[in-house]
Amino acid sequence: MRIAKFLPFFFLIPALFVIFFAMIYPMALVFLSSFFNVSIDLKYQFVGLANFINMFSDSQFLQSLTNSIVFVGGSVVCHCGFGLLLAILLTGNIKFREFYRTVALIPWFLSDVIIGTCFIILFTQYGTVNDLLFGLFKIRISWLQSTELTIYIVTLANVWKATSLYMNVDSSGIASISSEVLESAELDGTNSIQKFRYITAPLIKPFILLTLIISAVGTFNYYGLIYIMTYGGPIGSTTVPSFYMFREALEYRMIGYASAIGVFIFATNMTVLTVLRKFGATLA
Amino acid sequence: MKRFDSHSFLVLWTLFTIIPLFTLVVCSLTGSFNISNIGGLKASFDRFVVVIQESGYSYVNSLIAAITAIAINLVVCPLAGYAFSRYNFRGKLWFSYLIWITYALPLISGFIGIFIMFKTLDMLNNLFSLALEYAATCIAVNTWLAIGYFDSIPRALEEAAFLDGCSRLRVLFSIMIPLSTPVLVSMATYTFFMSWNEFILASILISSKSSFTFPVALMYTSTAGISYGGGVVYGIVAAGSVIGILPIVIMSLFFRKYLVVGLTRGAVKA
Repeated sequence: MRIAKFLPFFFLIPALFVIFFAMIYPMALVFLSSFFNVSIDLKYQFVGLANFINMFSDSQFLQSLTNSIVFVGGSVVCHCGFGLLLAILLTGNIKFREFYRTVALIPWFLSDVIIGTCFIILFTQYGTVNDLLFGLFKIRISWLQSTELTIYIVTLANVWKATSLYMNVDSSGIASISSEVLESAELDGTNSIQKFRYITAPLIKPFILLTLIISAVGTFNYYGLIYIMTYGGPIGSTTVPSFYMFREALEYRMIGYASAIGVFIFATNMTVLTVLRKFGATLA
Repeated sequence: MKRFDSHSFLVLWTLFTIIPLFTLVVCSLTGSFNISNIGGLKASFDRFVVVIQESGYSYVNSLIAAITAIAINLVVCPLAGYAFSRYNFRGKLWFSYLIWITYALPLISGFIGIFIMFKTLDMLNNLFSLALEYAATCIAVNTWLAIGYFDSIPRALEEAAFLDGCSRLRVLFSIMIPLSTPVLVSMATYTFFMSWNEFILASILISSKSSFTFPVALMYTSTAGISYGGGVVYGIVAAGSVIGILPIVIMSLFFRKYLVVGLTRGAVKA
């Protein structure tokens, strides 16, 4: 009988063990290391807040933040905008609905490396896009070697990758609206824009906020495509904070400094989550 | 008129989705970056042969990592799910928070910690450590799936078994687990997709060639370069990508209905 009382805890132990060992402990290690100067053979030397102070006088890090504004801003606008548009267009009995949905979902199932390769091939100097431009206007643009343009190409690839996810979230929101509400609105003679403005939009507001959270936080943390397509270049113009952290740690072995950036990323995430929570968003 | 408008955007979006993939397949078959003169290109499977010779093992590694992650999850999550679904115990709410928090936790900020930890343990370049991380990223969603499913199984079934003299564990393993095959398949599918495609963690934890997973191997091919036919590396990477897509296509054909449940839930993770 005594054992039966503890049985649920025994059931939980394996899950908690994996979570602790694989997530909580490393996270704590990052918080700890951020106050230290960590050498290659993992010798710790306490430096207080120096890593954090360095961070805000490091021009490369500050540049990564401004790059992030373009990358995250562009991605969030397109993810949430096109996601919502697709979700709305795909409600009701539209023809080929399943086909459109299935095709739109494909990119979400692909590895970053595959997506990156697709877009490198498309936008390379003698790729399809440039060939088309050459045929029309006799110009070729160095999409992936330009300090101004490249970040937009990476953003485009990111939009290609994940928009269908936000479509899915919004779709489940729209599906949760009872059809009676919409029908009665139709009887009252609303047109489709009014119907969206006064019925659908207010009712799926929590879902739209959810897409905003996921897209903002997810894109801010994400650097898979950047690693593959540009490796942060040319001249750091596509480096975002998470990628900068990765390079500092694994290339330059500045583990303490990289940990401080990790803590910064963590804090940013929590801030965004709290702020958007104030507007009534919840993590589903 | 209205119908036409919505279709025209949907058709545009479909083209936008398909064209990069089409280019990828063309490039893998012909080595050409260009699809505008597709008629004049010669297709061959040479690149696929090169990829399989050079980095065929990496697909096996990816499979090993994914299957290990699935195995860990299929043991750990139904147990936790059963505890949450059937028991009231002290601190239940806090334990559920602890599991849920891993879903919202930005794992990326812990990557350096993961690296340090496995370096100290001398477990870098180890597929098991990679699989452990993959398993951990899926635990929250999979436990949630398990709780939801167990809640839908009537308690009367278990009570009948208790009356017949079964123990709790016996009930779990001979009644609950067999009944919940669909959710176990969902969990396995979700975990497979999360781990098969994963690139960032693999690139941090794995640096020796023999334990590359396929995304890392492809990345290695495109930067360090195995050249074929005058250095047309991207043709080879494209062929490798197409091979990497195949298991996904197969999985989604067979497990279509189990798939969508988990994937929309696992999104916050970077």
